[in-house]
Amino acid sequence: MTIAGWISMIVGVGGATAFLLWCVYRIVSHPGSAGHLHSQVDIEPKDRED
Amino acid sequence: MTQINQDNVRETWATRVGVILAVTGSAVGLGNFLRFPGLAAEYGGGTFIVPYIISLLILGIPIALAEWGLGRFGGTRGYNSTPGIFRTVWRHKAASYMGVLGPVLPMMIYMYYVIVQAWCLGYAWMYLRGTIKAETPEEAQATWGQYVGGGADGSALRLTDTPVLVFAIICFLINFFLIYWGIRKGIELFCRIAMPALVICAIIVLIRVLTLPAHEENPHQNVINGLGYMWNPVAQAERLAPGDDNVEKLIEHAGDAVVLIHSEGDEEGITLEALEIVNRERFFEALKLSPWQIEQLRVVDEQRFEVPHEPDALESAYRDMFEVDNDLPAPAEMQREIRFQRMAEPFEGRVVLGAERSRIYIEVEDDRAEFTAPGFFASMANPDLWLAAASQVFFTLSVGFGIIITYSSYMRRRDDVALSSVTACAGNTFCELALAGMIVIPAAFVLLGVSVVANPPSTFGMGFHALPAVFTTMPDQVFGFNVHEEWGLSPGHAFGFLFFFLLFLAAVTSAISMLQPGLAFLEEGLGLGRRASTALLATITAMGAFIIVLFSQDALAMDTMDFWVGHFLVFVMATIQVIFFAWILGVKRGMNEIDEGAELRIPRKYTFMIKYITPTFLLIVFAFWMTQNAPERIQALIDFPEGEIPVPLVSAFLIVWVFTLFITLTSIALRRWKRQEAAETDVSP
Repeated sequence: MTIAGWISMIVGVGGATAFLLWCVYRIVSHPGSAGHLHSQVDIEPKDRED
Repeated sequence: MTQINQDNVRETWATRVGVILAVTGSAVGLGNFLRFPGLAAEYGGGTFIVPYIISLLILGIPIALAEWGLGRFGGTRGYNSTPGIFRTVWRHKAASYMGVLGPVLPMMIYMYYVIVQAWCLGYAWMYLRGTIKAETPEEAQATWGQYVGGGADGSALRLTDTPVLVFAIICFLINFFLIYWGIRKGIELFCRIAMPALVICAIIVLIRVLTLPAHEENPHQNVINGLGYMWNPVAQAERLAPGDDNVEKLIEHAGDAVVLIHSEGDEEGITLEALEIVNRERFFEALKLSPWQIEQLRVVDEQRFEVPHEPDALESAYRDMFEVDNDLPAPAEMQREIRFQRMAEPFEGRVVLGAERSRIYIEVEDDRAEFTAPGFFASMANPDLWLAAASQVFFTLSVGFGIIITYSSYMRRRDDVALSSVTACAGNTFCELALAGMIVIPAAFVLLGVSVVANPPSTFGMGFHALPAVFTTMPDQVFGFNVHEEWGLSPGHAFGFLFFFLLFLAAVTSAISMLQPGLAFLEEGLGLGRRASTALLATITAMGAFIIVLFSQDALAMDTMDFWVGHFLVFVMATIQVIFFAWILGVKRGMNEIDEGAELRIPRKYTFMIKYITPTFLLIVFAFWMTQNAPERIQALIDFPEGEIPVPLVSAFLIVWVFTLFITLTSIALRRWKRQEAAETDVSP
């Protein structure tokens, strides 16, 4: 593994982990945020009923 | 603190943790653990990572924001499908036609996604029953080929012990049952448990991979070199010393190029056997630069070809040797014998064919020829690589192809779209880079060898080779506790079942998401009820999925669909979306939409990126790809051996057919929406 490889891995893995931790921190540190956040899983589509 | 306050604190934390798990886990799925490693391997490991990260930053996150914003903008104006939402942004009939890919793309991706979902369920079933055979790379490959019908078209339809067709039908029924009955709440709760469990499993597998010992026979197959293959911007290969009497295992790899091998010496010289050339062009170049002559190339059937001494004639001689006309055979077919002789005299000595850093070298005694592999920037000049990296970012984040735009259209104005989209991106990126990127390719490199990594069985197939190989190495004894003896349970089998079953569950949520845009379009465009829409969607997707199962040989139909739909059309749709957001809706108006109810204010400097950098980047890559790679890709669709079924062409026909069908449906929807709007205008005072 080259030095560039180590740098690439540390930046990639470290960056992704830091990015996730920052998002988690944003959610945890803002008391009201949890109630407003959504994902595909919890959004209820309003389908037409038959 | 009072009891009530303590309960409130607990409840708040439970809500936050639940939200974090739901948001970050929502997009985790097959794209992370199966498609990403497959593409990374296909495009040379480390050389794929740089375009991937750049695409994530300047395409993935901006387009995710744009899609969430566009969706809620259209949703608050009464539309949930991309053609309808685009109509709210631009009152021109062309707008709806430009949005037709919104329902089409996820639906077509579903056609092959459900088959990969079935592969996961089938593997989980085989692990549960203990019938899986994956002790050796050969066994893992045989199990895979047999299960997915990779040997011949139609073989996946056979009713064997674990028929993939049956698992595909089960997955199909589960997905449509869930979407028809709208049981989303149950899935949501399930995801909050299943997704973290998948991540925990992945972390344990990662620890196992990072502690794997080097391959006994090939010590260069170790974890560090495996990580190097995955992360080195230009891969480096370790040079192996040849044996005393003959050259043994000279195999090396240099980026995506190598070679090697196994040899025997005799009185006539050195014979290199089983020469495997992963990158043909670079190998030819290396041969041309060699200081000695190759007089004779011999194939295993003893047929001899005299090779002219002019270096430029080498390639044509090579083509003759392998009996090919235009295209050289796949690397796997190129295992032949090559005899080196120096200056027409029998050579007695050592031949080293290997690689160091980005150089390939051929060493004959003290003579050494070196060929410098394309450097980092030269590798980056391949538009196909950028298209693949961008498509992976879109695929894994579920952005750019109509899913998020539909889901965000159901959100209210006070709901957050900014932090939600960014957190989903973060969760995905973590799973992809920190988990999948560290597991699958390094494991395949150590346990299966460089030839498997350099020639992935199919885009989604790499994980099905590497992961069972890792599970086989799971120790029976953990911290002095023998799991096998105490519980009568093979840890490898238990892990295999758990991992593939959790992947299957992750795929269920993604599959449902892929069906929703089509459902929303059929309901609001044609005025169909849920039952009729679901039935129509099921019919179309079942036809597509059947074609994928039927033409299972080498997963050619699936890979063709994945390229033209999952790479090319997703790229086109993402470009259309960002142009709609930044230039037609207007980036200022769009950012104001994102700011509504936002828990995270996107810096205004970011608008420059969304308006200029992202679309420019997309258009440049697209233009280069069209000029450099498109002719070859189109040629691959129409080139097929005489007498054989043109599978790529059949897949392309399916794509065109579905697209044409939805263009027709969009024109019907447009007329309906115009009638509705006219009626509303008449009613209003």
